[in-house]
Amino acid sequence: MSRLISLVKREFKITARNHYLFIILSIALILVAVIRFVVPAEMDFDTTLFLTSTSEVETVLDSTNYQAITEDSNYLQTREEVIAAMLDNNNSMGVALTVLNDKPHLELIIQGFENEQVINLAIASIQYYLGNIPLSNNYYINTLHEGTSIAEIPANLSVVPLPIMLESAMMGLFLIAVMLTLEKDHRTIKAYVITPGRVYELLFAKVITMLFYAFLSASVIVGLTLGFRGNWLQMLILVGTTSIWSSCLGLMIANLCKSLTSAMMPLIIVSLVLAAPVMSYFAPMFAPSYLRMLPTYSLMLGLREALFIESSSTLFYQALNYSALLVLVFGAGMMLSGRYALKGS
Amino acid sequence: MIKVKNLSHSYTKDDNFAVKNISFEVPKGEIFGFLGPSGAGKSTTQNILIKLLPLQKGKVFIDNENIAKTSKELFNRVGVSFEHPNIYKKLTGVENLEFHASMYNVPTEDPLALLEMVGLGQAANQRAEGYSKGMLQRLVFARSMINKPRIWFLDEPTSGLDPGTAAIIKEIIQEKKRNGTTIFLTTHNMQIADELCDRVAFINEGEINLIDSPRNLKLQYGEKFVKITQRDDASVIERRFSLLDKADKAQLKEIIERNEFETMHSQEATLEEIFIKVTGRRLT
Repeated sequence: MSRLISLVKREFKITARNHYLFIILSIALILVAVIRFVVPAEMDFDTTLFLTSTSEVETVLDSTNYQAITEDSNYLQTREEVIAAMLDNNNSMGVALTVLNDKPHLELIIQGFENEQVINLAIASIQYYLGNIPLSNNYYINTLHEGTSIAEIPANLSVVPLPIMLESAMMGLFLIAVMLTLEKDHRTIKAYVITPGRVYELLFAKVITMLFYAFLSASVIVGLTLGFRGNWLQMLILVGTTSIWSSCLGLMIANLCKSLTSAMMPLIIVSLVLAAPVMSYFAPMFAPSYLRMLPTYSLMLGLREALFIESSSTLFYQALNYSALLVLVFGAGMMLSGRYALKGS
Repeated sequence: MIKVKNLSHSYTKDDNFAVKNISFEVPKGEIFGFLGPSGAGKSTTQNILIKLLPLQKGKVFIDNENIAKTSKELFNRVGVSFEHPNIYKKLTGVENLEFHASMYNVPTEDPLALLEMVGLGQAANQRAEGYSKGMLQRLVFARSMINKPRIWFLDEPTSGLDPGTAAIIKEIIQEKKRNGTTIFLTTHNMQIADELCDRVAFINEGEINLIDSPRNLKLQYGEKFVKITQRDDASVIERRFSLLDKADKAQLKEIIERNEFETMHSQEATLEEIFIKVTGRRLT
């Protein structure tokens, strides 16, 4: 244990003197500035609206408006068909019109990702579509994916999970790989492996160091944007597990590459793959299965739930389970590759 | 002690051996020189002995432990001074030694005392990135003593050092030998081997050609010469006379009697000359 503490102390000294702390804090502050001042507070994305209505609706609507609705290309025969279509298209909303007290009654079916502005805009559009006739007093909002609504969050703050995800996954992956490959390039690994120190202790010390930096970075970003809003414990758990598996993955790549130069290409490819789910955050309709399979996709949704939806933990646990599995897989990969690759470095 | 039996190693894992069936023993308290040119198999052998390379064929015992079966705890008794200055340049000299001291489970040397010993006391708190090549070399050398090793591997320990510092390093090595440390010295510097080693092994193309003390090798393979310088008008002429050759001896006697020389020195064969004679190759 004392050896591990010495190794961690050494990592902190070296990373601090290599300005890692400065770099990490600078990136975190830049991201905070981008969220606060560059990303607009309101964003509009084209959303498909699926419609259905009962035959009674014809009696309470102007015939022109009714005809316009039923001839719409997104008009479907039943509410079930609307829901089925929505499940196939994440970037869609549904409207089921019925009659209540001789007035059109609106049931708005949402995915659960939409914010308040999008919902209000959808209702206003439908009202306009129906010829601005008064609706029955209470419209009803039905959510397909319960616990995913972040309706009250401004758009700029709603992107906070993205930098946290990217920092915890990419920073662990990249910086730790650089740390290890530099040790190989400078041959300091050789000096370590001829001591009683174990390879796993060396690798763990690096993982622990990156874990600290990941917590620091996430705390700065969340603290300066959302304050104490959301579930910090869940957020830090996800950041921590992600930092561990991405560090293990970074070390695995570094173990198998002879130098920093040879490690760069696989690191860049893995980073691009891991960053791909960002697209789905902005355009939920673009969530093909290969993106949903990536750990950063579930992490992104898990972080959003942890920070914005205190009433639910479904996505948090999904992300945590996935991360925990990856910690085991990449941890084992790191140990095996380290055992066989670092000895002769 | 170090015991190596029928050691072979092939990087390509076929019959292309970098080290071929070598055997030797280094008793406790001996300085054993492992001499050979680049690519002869010196580093491969040392790397197997310190477990940086896997043991493929043969047996190696370090401090009476079979390295095929031993744990990393063996390194508590082993020190290695690398030729390449592989130290943490962002740490100071003393931080480097303190860090390495914390890796061992045995009592260690005082880092500052070690730095003083190798002449780095003044630079102890300076980051190693500001050290010269010679200072880095001394830091690596000091680091290899941090755990008070019983078996000490030295790879070109005086490489890049000025004569004064090299003399200090050689004195430290002699002192450790007197205290019972077994020293495995890898070098292609025949002068340092001659000065320090109790025995030397000549390795060439992966094979050990001979093992003996420098003195015995000189007696066995060397030829005694006398070198004189003579003045011929404005130029100085250097001539060598073999003390085993009758004609040479007679000619030398005549020169001495006529006092036709400026300087005279007896000359033994150097280890380098013996190496060339035995292996047919130069060391550098």
